[in-house]
Amino acid sequence: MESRTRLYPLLLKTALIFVLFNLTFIFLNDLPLGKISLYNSLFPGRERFPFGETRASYNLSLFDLDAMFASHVLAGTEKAPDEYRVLLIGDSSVWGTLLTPEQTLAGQLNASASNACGKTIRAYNLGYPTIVLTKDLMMLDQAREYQPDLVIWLTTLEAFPNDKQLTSPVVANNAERVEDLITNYQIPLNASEPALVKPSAWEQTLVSQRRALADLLRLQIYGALWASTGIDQVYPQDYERAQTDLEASDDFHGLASLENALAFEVLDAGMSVVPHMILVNEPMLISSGRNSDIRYNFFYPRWAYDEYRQQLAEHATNRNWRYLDLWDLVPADEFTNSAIHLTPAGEGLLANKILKAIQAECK
Amino acid sequence: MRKFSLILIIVFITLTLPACASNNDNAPVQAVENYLNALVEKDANRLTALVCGEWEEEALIELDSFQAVTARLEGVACEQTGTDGATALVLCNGNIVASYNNEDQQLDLSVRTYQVVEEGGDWLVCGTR
Amino acid sequence: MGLIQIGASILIGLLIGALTRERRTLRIYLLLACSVLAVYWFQPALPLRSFDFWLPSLSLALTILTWLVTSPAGAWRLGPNFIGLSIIVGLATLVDLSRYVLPDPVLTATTPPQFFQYCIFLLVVGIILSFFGWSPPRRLWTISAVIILLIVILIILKTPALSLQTSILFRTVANRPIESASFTDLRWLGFSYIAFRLIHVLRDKQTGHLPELSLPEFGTYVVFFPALAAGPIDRAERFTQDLRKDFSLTQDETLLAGQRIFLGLFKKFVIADTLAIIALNDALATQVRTMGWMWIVVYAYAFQIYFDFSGYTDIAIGIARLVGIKLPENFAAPYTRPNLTQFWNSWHMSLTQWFRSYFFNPFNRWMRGLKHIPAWVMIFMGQAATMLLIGLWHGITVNFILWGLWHGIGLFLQNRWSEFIRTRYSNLGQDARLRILLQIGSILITFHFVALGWVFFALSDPSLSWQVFRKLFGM
Repeated sequence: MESRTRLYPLLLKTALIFVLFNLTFIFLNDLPLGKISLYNSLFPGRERFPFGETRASYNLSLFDLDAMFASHVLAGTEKAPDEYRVLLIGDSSVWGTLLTPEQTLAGQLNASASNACGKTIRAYNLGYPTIVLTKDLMMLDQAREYQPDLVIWLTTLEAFPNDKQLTSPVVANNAERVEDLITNYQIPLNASEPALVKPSAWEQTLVSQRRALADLLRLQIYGALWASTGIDQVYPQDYERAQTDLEASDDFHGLASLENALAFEVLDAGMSVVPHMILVNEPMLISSGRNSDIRYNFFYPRWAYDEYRQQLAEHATNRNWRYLDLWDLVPADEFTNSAIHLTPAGEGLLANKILKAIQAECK
Repeated sequence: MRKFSLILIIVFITLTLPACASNNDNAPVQAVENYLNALVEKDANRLTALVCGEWEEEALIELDSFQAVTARLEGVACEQTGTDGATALVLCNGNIVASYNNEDQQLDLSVRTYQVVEEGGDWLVCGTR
Repeated sequence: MGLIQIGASILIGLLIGALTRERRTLRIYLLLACSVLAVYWFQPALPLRSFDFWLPSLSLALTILTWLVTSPAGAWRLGPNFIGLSIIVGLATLVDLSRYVLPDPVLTATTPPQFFQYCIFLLVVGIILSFFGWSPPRRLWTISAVIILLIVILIILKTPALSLQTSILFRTVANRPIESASFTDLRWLGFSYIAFRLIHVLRDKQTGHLPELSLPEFGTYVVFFPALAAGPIDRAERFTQDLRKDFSLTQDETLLAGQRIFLGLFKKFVIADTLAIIALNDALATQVRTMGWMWIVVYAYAFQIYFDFSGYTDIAIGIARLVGIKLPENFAAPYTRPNLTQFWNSWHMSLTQWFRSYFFNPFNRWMRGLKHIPAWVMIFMGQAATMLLIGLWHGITVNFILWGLWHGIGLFLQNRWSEFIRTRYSNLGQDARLRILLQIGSILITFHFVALGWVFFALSDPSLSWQVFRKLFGM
């Protein structure tokens, strides 16, 4: 009789504690667990944000911006007196798809060991493989606490359409941040957009958040692999090159015109985050293959891109921004698997231009 | 013992009857759906068992293309649209949603028709059109 | 075994334990039935079509064959044995027939083969088994023949080149492309453990030590579902003693079993799977840049393999406990042992005990019968040969041979060193502090010797192993 009472009370107590802990976790959701990081302490910081879908890359993608920044070398680098701190914001081309950290724009700028304003230029790669302005604004807003001397924002037309500003997963899964941005920067985006993920109470329990927590832990463990191997991406021997023979279509997001279709307000907000910024219309592949009279590349029909360039140039001029239009800087054979992903040589061309622009800031 | 043996024989016959009587008209469709499930689950071994010998290498190449992504099926419904000799033709609606670069890419399944053949009593995916 | 299969095994264990209170016979039949189904369910999909059905069926056929050659003639006709045979054949038939009833395969990874193919298989196996069931008293040669057959199958499965050729052969017969053939095509779940259980029974029969076992008891012992995938390798006599006892699943037993299962789950799915991310493997062997990190990666492997294997053992022991079977322990804090002999007495104990009983002791007895062999040569030969075979049991590759020899030579050197110390420095242990220091030092040396041995075990190629050693020692 005595032993009969041990198992069931134990199971009951276990179940109760489990339920209680789950419910308590709802109130702990606001704790910035992502800021707890072994990077920049036990492990060196990453040269770029964690991103990856395969285990062989020793990397993973997650939505927690605190964790992403905490794992970045920027978070662990005290700004030296002679450091000219340059932050690079952008998409996968800045992040460096198919490029080692040394081959990226940031890597090549650092390798040049150049000076600006009497200090040594130190560039930090804050690119992230998602092409949307709101994501860039999120990164910018978070990055300003790291005292940049200059922010260089590389962008392209694909980041601008209004209909994708809140639907990108990294944006959609940071609903609170986005709401704050909308309020603080007075951006005309819909905070009630259904795509924004606002977890219910159940979705904030420990059980529901287990994947996010597991990702945080895995990111820390991958720190050991980053430290021991320096690998954060898989580099396949073969890959499909960016299309140069294109579809005979002039469609761009189903739009007939770009009038009021582009999120210039988000761009305005981003350009107001820090005083010194350079906006760059990043290089893209200009095809000379099939249907290249209709389209520049996989992403853009000619009419849309030409209209965008004109609008962006006018917009930048009217606001007195430092603006570089480098759309046709890189020849077509210096692109890899996408119309915006550069080879190391292509990045070198870009780095030279950017370096001159940085140094011009000091004049 | 005799009673037990008798029960066994009756059970055996009862179970064997479906084997003789079965005529699964839905088998080609089922084969394609199983193939698509194996594809998104990146189960190379299961995939191999679901395709014919002539198409095994192409199927594995297709599987390879999903290695770097997280994939799932969305709204998939397949139906047999006809035959071409001994080959059944199956068309599926819906998408394979592949998460790459943290963005979902939708691969429309209706752009290809699957060829399904019967081999050794099993319907196996044997190419696309 | 994945989490789902473990979860199902726990549930089944609880059900059987609860439903068969004091009903010994029912318990045995239920365990047999569940174990037979588990043989199919646990087998993962294979690139060779329907092999995820044929290989488990062959496991069962070999089990019945072994029982027949080790049992009195005509024993299969006796009530319990006939029922056992009916359960095995009936369930295998059910699994095959499920292809006609279920839209998706449930008990097998892929659709089972056609019924007529299964009938042909049954016929062929039936003819072979009938020969042993009806024949006059078997000669020892049939037992030896089955042992040889099991060893040959093991050699084929463990030798990459032979597995590859076998896969090519099957692919050619089935008109499948041979370019896709791989030596991993024939992953036969649990066969290493099944083979060793069968060989142990056959050898015991040869030496007259095997008690009489019914087919349900024997079948349950060989394919016992908690221990199917990763052991431990129990002894038939000890196992059936537990089976024959009346058993009631009490709350105490459930708690103890639950504790063990929980511990195993934690060790395997939390610790081992986390360590696996940074544990030594072929890729990391060339990617790790510094000596310090290479040591960390090697340590990670040493602990990963321990927690993985001992975790599975804990789960198996826990589930077995739910149904009244007390499986033997496999691990006893091996990394805290001060010498290699004690390490091997506490690592994968069921395997080392098996080799001790069926190779090491007979081999030593044979050597002692030879004249003019110095004692130290006998010690070396015995230890090296045993460890070499243990290495080959894991895989017939150069790296496993090197691993086996590493430990064989290590054991020999440790044996000679212990002898040397014992004869010359017997008073070393009198000083308490020195004793503690020596103990700690011995543990550290033993652990590092074992950890370095894992370098061969973890990697597929000797050149990779050499690369790792060079990095570890800054060469």
